Amino acid sequence: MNGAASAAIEGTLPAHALRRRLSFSRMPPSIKACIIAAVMIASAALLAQWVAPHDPNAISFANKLKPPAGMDGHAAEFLLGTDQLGRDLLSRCIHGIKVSVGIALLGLFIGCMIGTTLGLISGMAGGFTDRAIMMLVDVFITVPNLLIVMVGIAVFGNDTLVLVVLIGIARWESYARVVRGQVLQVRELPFVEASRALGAGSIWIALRHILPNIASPLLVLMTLNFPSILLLESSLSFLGLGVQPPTASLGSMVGDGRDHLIFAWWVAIVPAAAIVIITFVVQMLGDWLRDVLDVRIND
Amino acid sequence: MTEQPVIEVHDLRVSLGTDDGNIEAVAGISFRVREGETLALVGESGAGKSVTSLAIMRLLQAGEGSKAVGIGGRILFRDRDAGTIDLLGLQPEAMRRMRGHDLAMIFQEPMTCLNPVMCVGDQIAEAVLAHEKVSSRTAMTRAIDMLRLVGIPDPASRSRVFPHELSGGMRQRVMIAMALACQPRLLIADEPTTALDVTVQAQVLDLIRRLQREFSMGVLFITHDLGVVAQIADRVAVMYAGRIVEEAPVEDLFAHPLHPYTRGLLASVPDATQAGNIVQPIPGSMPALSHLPQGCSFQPRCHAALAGRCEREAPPAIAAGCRSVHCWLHAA
Amino acid sequence: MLRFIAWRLGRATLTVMLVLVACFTAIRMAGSPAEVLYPDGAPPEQIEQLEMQWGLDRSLPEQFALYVAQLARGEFGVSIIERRPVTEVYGEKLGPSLRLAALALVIGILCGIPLGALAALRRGTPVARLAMSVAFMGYAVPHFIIAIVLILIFGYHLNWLPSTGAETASHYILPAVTLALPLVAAIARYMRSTMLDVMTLDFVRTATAKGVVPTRIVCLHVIRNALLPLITVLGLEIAGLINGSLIIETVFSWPGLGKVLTGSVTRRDFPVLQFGVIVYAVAVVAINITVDLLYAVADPRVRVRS
Repeated sequence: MNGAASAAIEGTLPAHALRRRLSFSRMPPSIKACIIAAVMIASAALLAQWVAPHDPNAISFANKLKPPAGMDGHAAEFLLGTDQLGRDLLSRCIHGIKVSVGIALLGLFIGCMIGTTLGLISGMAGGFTDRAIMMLVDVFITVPNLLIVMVGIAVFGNDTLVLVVLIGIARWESYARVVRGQVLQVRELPFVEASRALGAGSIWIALRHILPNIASPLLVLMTLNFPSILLLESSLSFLGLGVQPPTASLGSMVGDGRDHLIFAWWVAIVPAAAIVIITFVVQMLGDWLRDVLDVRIND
Repeated sequence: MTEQPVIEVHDLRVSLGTDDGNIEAVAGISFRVREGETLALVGESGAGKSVTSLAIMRLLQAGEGSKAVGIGGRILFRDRDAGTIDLLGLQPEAMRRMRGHDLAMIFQEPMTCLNPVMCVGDQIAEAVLAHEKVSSRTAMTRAIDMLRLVGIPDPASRSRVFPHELSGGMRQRVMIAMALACQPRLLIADEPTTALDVTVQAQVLDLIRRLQREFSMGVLFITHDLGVVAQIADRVAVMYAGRIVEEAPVEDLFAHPLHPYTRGLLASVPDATQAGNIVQPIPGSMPALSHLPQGCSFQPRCHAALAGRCEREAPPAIAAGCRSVHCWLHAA
Repeated sequence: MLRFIAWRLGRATLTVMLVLVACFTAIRMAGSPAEVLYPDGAPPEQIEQLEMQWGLDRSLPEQFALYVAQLARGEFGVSIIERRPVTEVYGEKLGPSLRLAALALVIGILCGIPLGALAALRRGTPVARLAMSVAFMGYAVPHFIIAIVLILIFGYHLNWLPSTGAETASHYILPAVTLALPLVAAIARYMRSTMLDVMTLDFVRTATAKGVVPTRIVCLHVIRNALLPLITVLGLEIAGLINGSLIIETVFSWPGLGKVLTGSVTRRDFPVLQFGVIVYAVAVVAINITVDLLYAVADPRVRVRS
């Protein structure tokens, strides 16, 4: 019964159809490439210490501002060149990916948690609570999120943990609205009424009937939000407001490279390219996931 | 009513490319509509009536479910100078000049068929401006005249309203005004009254008849409603699975239907004048156009099918006076 | 119509109120208001006067009311770093910011709409795919990366355009284009999408059946109807525009609000930060109301209903 009912809610497919659509062999080649890229990025993030050829913080003035392979004056052991302090860009990028992607992922989950919880409360409670939370959603949609995060940094400082939380808060309202929408739909369904008649409490209904149905829309939403969160952190770090040295994210690396743009453009462009590639890959995966899971994000 | 046909369709074939392969939506039909005459094209949904009308207007496009459109046959149209043109041979720009000017079409859903952000007066005036070199003021005056002609009260101020401010019947009148603004010789009406209440239906049918007499137009009226046919048609052509199975003057068709399908249709309509009348539906349903049976398309559902012949060959038109029927039962 | 305006104003006021609450809370959390607003230490009588003014001996809601009243009087405090009234610090910065944002908006609309329309009308052709790839670039690449790439190419290697300051007209080009690019992308994507939807609608077929010239059908029937949902989209993109201007103004050393505000964050210059936040919040809210009104005026269905 649950299968049929959950299929009635937009956004879910029966398990066997899902498995068929997600089978690796059926994916278009561009998506396969994206998945491989994503795996590589994730490995870089997780295994940074072992994957990076050099110590990202090893300063060596003798080697400073060496260009990447293929250009005049490059040094063989520094594949992507070095920055103004002689640090290997490739290694710094790999560690930078770890920092940027790490912060973004953590922030993503926090935002999802907050958003889902508030969405659930809003939908289940109804009435004034619902309106109040929706008002809050309105504010967060209207006010530019960079501004909100900046105020947060001014008040709470830019410790990495603080950054994670602040950035996570940035897109909470997208999850809240989706979850609330789902709750409102499910609330009216006959089998929920029946459960209630049998004495089931709201929390149990929430966990048993609502959460399983919001899994795919939330997954898609998270994938689609990841680029904006990554860009938010990158922008902040670029401006010097985000991660502080010695921690380096891709964004702060681009910011540091800004001063050397004329004669050593690679210092800024290499991490910038990394950001663009990661964003692109995740964007493609998110769009594909949305099509495959047949999810329509109803606002 | 003269004998001059406004339009003669010869062996029209329309094939649509779908995901399941090519299907023949219209499989070779021929008919004519004379000046001042209303020919009703009757049939169930999917019989090919709308496709026929869109093919005549050359409005069929790929997209929305069909990948490609192939049209064959000839559609001979007699224009104002009494010359004959094959509409299917015209270049797109030449066809555009004919649409709205020599032949016009009205559709079923007037709400969605009118531009929501343009006032109705402008939309009628647009039809005039598309074909005649007049000032916009003149076009607007013509539009107001047309509104008056179709029976809309206070046309001058009504011309400035938007479609959503009008009732269904009024919107259909506006559609008619738009279609007839340049006094075309042929009006194609694709189920214009299906979405309207019965009382409004009668008014709109009345209006069409009146304007037909006034402009001496030929009218090709498409419907699935036999009641409407009885009210408005002079001749009737019955379509089934992409073919015309019978054609006759309206009284003859109702009084003496020849084709088993026509008989079945009439028997399945409740007769208000006879108490205790039993409604007889035709068993089965019309075949999908991608899976037509061999021979006569109606044969699987026909209680009078001739074993052998009906299954082998599709019957040609068999004339009987001013009627024709495609049925082996009536072969000489 | 009047009721609609009143309702929107009400919602807008509520939003601004919530922003003020946030600012109020933020300042409270950063330390005592006397320290924050007048950091150099002030004579005890002034502190006492301040505490009375702020009602620090009163309940929080009353404090908030006083706070709002103070803002309404235009007393935004003194910059912690520069020891000057906040309003002086911002001084002439509103103009350049407005001009930059306005220029970016114009570029966004003038480029985005035709791009999207082209992609819709020539769907499936290489031209359309090219148009959408360009749009994708603007969407996927963040502001600051676009900025440095453009500076690199046009500022240094080709040396065509200046990249800092705002003295001459040519100074406007790089920042405005950088700011506009994501907007062009967003508008192009939405325009293409709504046009594809509108093109399948029945009234377009009616217009063809009337014999209207195809160009006119596209312009008057398709585009006019496709522009309507685009207006709402514009409202959503304004926040993005402001996000972007905060970054762009810093990267290009543009003498505007954003640069001042960004600078105030690390230095914990709360009075300056607060002023910037309030101004931006009010701006966004005002623009959203304007967009809603614009939509109501443009769509006759809404006009009559409200």
